[in-house]
Amino acid sequence: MKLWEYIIYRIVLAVVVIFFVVTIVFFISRVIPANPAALWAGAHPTPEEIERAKEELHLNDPLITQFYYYLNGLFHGDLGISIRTHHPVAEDITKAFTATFELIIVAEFFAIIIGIALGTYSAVKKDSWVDNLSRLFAISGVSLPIYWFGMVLQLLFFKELGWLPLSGRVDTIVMLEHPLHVITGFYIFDSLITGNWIIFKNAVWHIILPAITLAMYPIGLITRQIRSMMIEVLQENYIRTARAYNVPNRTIYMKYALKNAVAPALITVGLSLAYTLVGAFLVEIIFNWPGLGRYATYAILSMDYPAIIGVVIIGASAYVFINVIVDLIQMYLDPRIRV
Amino acid sequence: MKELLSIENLHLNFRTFWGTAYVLNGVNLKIYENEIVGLVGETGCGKSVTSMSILKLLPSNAELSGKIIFEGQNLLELSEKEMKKIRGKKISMIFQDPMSSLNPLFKIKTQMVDIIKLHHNIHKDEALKKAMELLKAVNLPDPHRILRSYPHELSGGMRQRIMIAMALSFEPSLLIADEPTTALDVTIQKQILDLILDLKKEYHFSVLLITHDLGVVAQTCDRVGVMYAGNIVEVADVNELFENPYHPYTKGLLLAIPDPRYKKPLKPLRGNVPSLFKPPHGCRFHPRCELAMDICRREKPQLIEYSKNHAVACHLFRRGDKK
Ligand SMILES: Nc1ncnc2c1ncn2[C@@H]1O[C@H](COP(=O)(O)OP(=O)(O)OP(=O)(O)O)[C@@H](O)[C@H]1O
Ligand code: SF4
Ligand SMILES: [Mg+2]
Repeated sequence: MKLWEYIIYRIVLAVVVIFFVVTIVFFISRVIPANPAALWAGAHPTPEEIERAKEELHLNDPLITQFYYYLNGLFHGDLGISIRTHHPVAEDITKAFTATFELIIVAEFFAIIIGIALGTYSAVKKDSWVDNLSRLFAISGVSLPIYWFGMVLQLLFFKELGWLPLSGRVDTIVMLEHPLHVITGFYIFDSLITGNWIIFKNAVWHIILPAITLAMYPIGLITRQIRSMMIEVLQENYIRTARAYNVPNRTIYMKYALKNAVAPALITVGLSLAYTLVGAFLVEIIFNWPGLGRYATYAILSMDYPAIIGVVIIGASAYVFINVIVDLIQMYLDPRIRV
Repeated sequence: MKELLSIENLHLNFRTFWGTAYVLNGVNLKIYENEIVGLVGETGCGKSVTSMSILKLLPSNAELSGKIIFEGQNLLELSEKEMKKIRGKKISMIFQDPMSSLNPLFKIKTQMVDIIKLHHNIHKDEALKKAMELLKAVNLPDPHRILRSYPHELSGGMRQRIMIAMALSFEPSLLIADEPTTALDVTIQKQILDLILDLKKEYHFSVLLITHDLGVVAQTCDRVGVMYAGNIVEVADVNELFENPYHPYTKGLLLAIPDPRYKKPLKPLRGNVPSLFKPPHGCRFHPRCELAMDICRREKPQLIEYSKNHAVACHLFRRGDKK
């Protein structure tokens, strides 16, 4: 199979998976005994108002027709109107999604850098005290609950030391005084390219704690994976060959061994990304981060099913496409998979 | 003949989780200039670790003692920095499995250039030119394509030729070939051995050829050492060894191969290879030796030159009492 054929194949597969997700989520949300029409109609609705709301929401049509309406809207980028906010769900989600995505990217960036560095060092200095310490750290990362980390960090860096803000994405006052010209929705990126240094600094300050909290689990996961892959790789014959020709240790570790360790560890990176998508729900609540997780939580609490379906579809799509991208990177790294 | 390398009373232990493995038990072997020495023995007898000791490539749990004299210096006393002037330059090595001895994720070009550049202190372009010459020297067609390939795109024979080309980068005086043909099919085996012989004529290096194939030894080597459980038990010129083996283990080994020259029924050695965690006292071969005597259980036989160019380590053959 040619590379582009493979890519198309993967994308088609991804679309099929997402279609199934949409179907399942749609029908589940209709089976749940709730009264969205009552919510839609506002506070203390009369029976007539509820009946009108049902008409507007197509709730009197057969399920399959409702599904058709939904798919048709989806095709045009329309996820319906949020029952809670009365905004188009697509609009709400786009805003929330960029906030979440920014958080995840920063967290995963930390996780990959720290995980690879720590895992490699651990493997090279196997059984040293540094290795033992990093293993303990990695175990804590994967086993201690995320809200515990979040709250400990808040206590330490906000309450005790006062170095970092408690929560939020950016200070509202600062945002009002130095309005940010939003281009991509990623505040750090937008402020950087528009040269809005005050917002840039403020946004970076705000993202540090939630990003670290969210990164703890992936750091643990990646560190452990890289360590064990690296230990395995360092016993390979091709490493012996490199040693037999005096290739310096640094080149052996950082070039010849690391690439071999990272290629299979990418699966873990993909997994950890999926995890951060879930972990973001908790982190966003703890740090009051205006992202998808917080949006979804409110949506669930108020039975705002267009919003719920929207979040699930976006989340699932993100997950599916992350995996496609991870696979493609793996193919790029390992020529043996590129057939 | 000038002596090139002399291994003297080499002991090697591995500290492991399960205890200490006494792997080499006083190995003695000399290699002269411009000759091919074979090293044979059953699996696990310590052929590979002997060769790894020469390059000091053993893992950190290895304890090495004795002497390895090369060009007048004891390699075991050299610092890592001094070792770098020898390893890969004056002594280079090719390995059993050419599939796994090259890094699967890097092009041949990268792997060769990294090695050549490192030692010759030259620029990448020159290193590339040198790599090309080396690939031509080992008769690889279309070196351009080879350099651009990943290992999995090449055949086993091609990969082993690449390993040989790498080994030639610095015109070594000793080439250690650890079962260079075991992983290859028969026709390719012959080609690789012929290539090594041709290159030896051209570059005048000596070869330590590790193998468990006595047929290969007969075809290629000048002398041969027989190893059993961490000892060299017999060393002789190739023809002498095949015609007139002394050591009971060597005799057993020759009987165990289906060689038409012997026309004898195949007779495998009785017993098993001893555990290296608790090796037998005295002669390590005594539990399997039909001729074992009392002294064999107590005292380790020394390797002595029993007749001209024919040394043996067995109590049946004492210094002085010539047959
Ligand atoms: N790192 C190590 N730790 C412990 N024991 C080891 C280690 N490396 C090798 N050994 C042991 O040393 C002995 C000799 O191994 P070696 O690889 O030299 O055998 P060999 O003669 O080359 O066998 P083969 O014909 O299978 O290649 C074996 O019993 C092996 O188990
Ligand atoms: S020394 Fe004794 S046991 Fe060892 S080979 Fe000779 S006769 Fe056999
Ligand atoms: Mg071996």
